[in-house]
Amino acid sequence: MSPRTRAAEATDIVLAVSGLTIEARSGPKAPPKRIVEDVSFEMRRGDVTAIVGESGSGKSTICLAILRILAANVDIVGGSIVFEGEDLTKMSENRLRAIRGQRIGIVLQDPLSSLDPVRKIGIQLTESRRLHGIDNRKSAQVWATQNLASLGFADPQAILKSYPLMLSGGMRQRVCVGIAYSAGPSLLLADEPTTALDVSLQGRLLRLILEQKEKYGTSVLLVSHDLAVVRNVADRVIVMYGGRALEAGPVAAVLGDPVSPYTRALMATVPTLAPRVRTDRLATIPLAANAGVSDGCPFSGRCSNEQPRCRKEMPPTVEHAPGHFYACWNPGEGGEA
Amino acid sequence: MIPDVAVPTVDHPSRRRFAISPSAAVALAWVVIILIAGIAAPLVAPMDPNKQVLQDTLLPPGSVGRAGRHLLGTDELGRDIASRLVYGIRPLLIVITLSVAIASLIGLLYGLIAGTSPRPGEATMMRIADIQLSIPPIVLAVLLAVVLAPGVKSSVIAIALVTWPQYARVVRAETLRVKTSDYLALSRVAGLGPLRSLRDHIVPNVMNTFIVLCSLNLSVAIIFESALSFLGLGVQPPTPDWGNMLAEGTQYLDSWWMVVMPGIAISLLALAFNRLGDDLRDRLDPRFGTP
Repeated sequence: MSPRTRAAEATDIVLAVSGLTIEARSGPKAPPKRIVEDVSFEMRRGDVTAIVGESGSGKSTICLAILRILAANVDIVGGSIVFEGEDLTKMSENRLRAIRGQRIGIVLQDPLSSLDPVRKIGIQLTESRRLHGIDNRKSAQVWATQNLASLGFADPQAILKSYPLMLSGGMRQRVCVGIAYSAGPSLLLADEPTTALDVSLQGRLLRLILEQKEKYGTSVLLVSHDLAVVRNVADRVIVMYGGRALEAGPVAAVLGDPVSPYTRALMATVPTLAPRVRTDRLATIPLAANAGVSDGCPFSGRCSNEQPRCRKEMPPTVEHAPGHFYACWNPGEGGEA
Repeated sequence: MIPDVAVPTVDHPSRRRFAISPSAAVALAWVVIILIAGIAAPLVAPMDPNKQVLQDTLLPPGSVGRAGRHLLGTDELGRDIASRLVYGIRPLLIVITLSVAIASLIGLLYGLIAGTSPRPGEATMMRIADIQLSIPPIVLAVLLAVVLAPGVKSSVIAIALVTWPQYARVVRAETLRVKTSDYLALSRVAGLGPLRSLRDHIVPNVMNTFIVLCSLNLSVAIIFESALSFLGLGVQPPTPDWGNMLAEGTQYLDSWWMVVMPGIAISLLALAFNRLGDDLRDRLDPRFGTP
């Protein structure tokens, strides 16, 4: 690769997270618990990056950390989040306010609680545009009408005047997508956007997110635990477990040729509809999940490839193939995967 | 573009807002009648409320005395009960509106400040409100009546002092609910500052509950006001007052109308305010308005 293309690529990086470490305090005396440790990744303009992992692995926390809207007892204690050349972890609240909503949008998991029940859809949809001075009250109305049509609503005028409870969950989530994209952000955080929806609506919503992404040239960080979705829509994937990134790389490489035993175990748990492969019980990963981050590899104790040092020392991150990273002492094939 | 599967059934706003149930209509009519009667007492009352006709004492309802027909009877001094009830509306309405206005405003501000403060401040504020709630209302009222002269002023202050923590607690709880909601987090994401989110999200969300609580508390205030007057701690005789009349009537239980008439008046008005409060909640809160 010539130095020139390398430089061009560097400016194309929208978000660079490095060494991100987050702690939660549960009480004044209890020691803080690490919930995310040393996570690094980069996102290029227009890319879809997926974070997969089970509940409690720190996926959503990363989203909230990027926007600095973590709960009061959760702090970023290390690392940096560089967004378009500026470190969000060191930014003042005032400067952040200009970036939130305008440069970074977010779609949360639950459309039922994402909208203010006592304010009309039209006001909520255009809030960002008005706050950031993109539109005044009148032009926002025009924009909202056009935008609702592109979000797939047949009767924008009626929707603008209705309250959230008059809409179904799927419609509300489409409104939320509209809000997240309203100011044409360069980064969209989608925190399990389809989890609360009916299976038949999930594909439709994802398509909507991707359509809008093309329209605005946005990069999307998709948090999901649906591997099928990730395989279909993401360019890169990060596999998280117990607050650590255990494997990361291009989707085809990571899901097609997983190196980490955890990725393999995760893929083995996906239920299948193929009759011949179906067994009596759904596959699970044995034993319970580790709580929090320990000194060693978080997956030790449940891993089929475990070695003595796995429990004592976290393996370093190694490049397996260009752009494909993993952290494991003993990645060799084997186990039940 | 993705076509829409179902067009939402958006309830027509005009239909939703103006449909009123028969019981609420009756309650509203009653409150309006009482209001008008209270304001226009001299025009509405058939007789002078304080005129004593000692030959016509304790006449049962409907009897004709020297001053004319006594629709609701006369009391032990021969005064017309109907007229006294009409004149008794004014002090009652003054006390309940003032006390609810004062208590609710204090409670609203207190609850909003507590709800948006960090934990230690919030806890301290709410413990203070709890202490206030733990003092028995009547004891406090007696104390106030002794310190200030008993009358409209002491009643207003006593009722406001006793009821403000209710508003504070409800407003704080609602504030916390909104503060921890996803949509408030999203409004921060949209770039809203803390004061704007208080104005645009927290206050409007708290308002519905608050207004309903105010209207329901009007009936509580009626009961309180009557109780204070009943004990001689409120409006002082000879000014006609429903609680006073009830207290006087207990001396003459053979003349049942002296107790029953003011009793019915108090109960009906309290009931009407209660029903109106319920109705208000149904139409104010969009959470109750979904088909």
